[in-house]
Amino acid sequence: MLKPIAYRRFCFGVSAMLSLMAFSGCEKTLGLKDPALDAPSVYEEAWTVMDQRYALFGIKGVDWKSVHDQYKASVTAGITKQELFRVIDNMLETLADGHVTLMSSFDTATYLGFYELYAKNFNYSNLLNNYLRNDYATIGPIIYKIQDSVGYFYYGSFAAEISDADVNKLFQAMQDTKGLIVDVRNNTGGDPANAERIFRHFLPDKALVRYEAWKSGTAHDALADPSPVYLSPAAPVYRKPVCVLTNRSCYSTCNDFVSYLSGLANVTIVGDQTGGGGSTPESYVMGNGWRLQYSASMTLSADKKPIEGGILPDVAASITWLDEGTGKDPILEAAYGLLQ
Amino acid sequence: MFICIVIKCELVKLKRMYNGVVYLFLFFLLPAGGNAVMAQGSALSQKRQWSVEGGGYWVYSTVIDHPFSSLSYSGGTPGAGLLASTTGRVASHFLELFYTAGDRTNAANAEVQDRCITAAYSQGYELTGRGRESGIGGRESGISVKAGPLLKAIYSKRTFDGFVNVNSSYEFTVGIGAALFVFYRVEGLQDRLSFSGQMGIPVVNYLRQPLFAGEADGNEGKVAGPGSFLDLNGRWAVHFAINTTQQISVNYIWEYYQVRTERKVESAAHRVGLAYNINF
Repeated sequence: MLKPIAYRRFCFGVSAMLSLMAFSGCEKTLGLKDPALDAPSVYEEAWTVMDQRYALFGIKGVDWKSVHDQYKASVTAGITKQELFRVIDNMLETLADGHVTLMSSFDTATYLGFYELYAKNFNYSNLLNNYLRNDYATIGPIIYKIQDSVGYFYYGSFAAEISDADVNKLFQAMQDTKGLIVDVRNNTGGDPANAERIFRHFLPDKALVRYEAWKSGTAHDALADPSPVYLSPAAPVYRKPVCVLTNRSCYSTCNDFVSYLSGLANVTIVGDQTGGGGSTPESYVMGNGWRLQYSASMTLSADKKPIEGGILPDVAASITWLDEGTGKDPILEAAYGLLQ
Repeated sequence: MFICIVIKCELVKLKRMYNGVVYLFLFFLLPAGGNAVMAQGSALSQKRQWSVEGGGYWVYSTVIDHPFSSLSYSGGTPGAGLLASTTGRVASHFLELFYTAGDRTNAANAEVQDRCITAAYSQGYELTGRGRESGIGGRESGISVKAGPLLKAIYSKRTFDGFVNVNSSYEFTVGIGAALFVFYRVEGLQDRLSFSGQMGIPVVNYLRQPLFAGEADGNEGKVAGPGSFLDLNGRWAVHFAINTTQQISVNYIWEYYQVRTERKVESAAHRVGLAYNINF
């Protein structure tokens, strides 16, 4: 038992400690405050977030430390926020990843080299005017037509929501065709659920479609064991020959979709290589309010190969500048020829 | 001393085993059993006093969830707390539940929906020999100090606006540690006015968070000491007795915790509330 004086001191000490804890500004003392906003700090934060959280260093072949030193030289004392934005954007562009985006209140920067450096291989006006002849049906975001017993549908963005009922209706309409052309050119991705809704109708049995290897720590090579993703079929299943039309603007979820289809025996991929985007992006808000999006996982095909670089076509075809001028779509024609 | 021995023993045990839950129960059953034995020899202890307190709070909290942002999200929201206690000459037991939910904003006006549930069970063993008479609901003026083991659980979940693919995060902890209580009843004023202070520090915790990246429902758990999970908190209350069985309390609670893993999280909250307390 404490003696009275010692006990009073003890109580005083306890009271003082509790008072101090309760009233002394507490969390700021313990470090809970916003970060510095000077240009070097913002630059360091952007670099560090990517250094610790970006999942694709293993396949990008980028020396991220060298990139840091290379661009840091441009972060000078009098730099404006617009100039700083451009420096960080240039630093991020070295990763050549369309899932890496920097957003501020005054600008948004995304790597677009996955399609800008290549032929477009798609002309929507020519497609509508010269091939569909402005005579087509629509289900949700999809336009479709059946001609000479060959079905065709175009899905321009997996970000456009489609319901199970609409997909079911589409495949009911295609059941009596002898072949089907699935056009996903210029589809830069979106919600995987929309892509999977379509894909399930091509799937005869439950199948492993991809693996996802998530970043598991701050080291560049810290990736968790790839976790398998399975999909099950949805009726009606389309089992006849299928051609999928692709170009470099088929990215992200579209890239996954083509990867799934490439594993099916009745599917032929026609056109150009897809743009890639074999990862799942996540977001981060920097101390100055700029938003940074980065690849937080590595997507692998069913045979465990990264698909960040895109999916190669089975039958290469392209639209030349001459074709553009004459309104031709040799990619569509190649597919149509294969199904005849 | 007894408490220290028990804590030390349990900490050693906890390091050796994987099934921590069993030992958490043992940890609290041992001193409770001891208390029961002591109670048999004390007529006063048999007249154990029960108390229930319910209150409404205003909570101002700040959180930095480093996997999502280096910016702090702050804001004020309502909360509700419930405190049940039983006070004896030798040992007292306290069970506290608290819930708050609401939006916090950062400097860029982005929002996070924040929900937090806290549950704590603690025991206080009299260090000053004054016992129940000077504690909450007691009648004797002067100071009483109690200390004992603490079992505390926190579940906090945040959902961020405008984030792609993964937009939520959480931490769940169950920890054992020590709690300290101070009661002071003011002489005069018909002995109606009293103060209390409380501090609890979980020392060994089971910590569960989402994985480093990916869906928030993927998760991993581990045993975490203060180096991985630090929880500091203090509670001050002023109690005014309406009569022998009822009192009104004004409470101020400060809570800070920091998860020091690769998914670093810092959180601090100030709670101010008015509570009604009834003794049995």
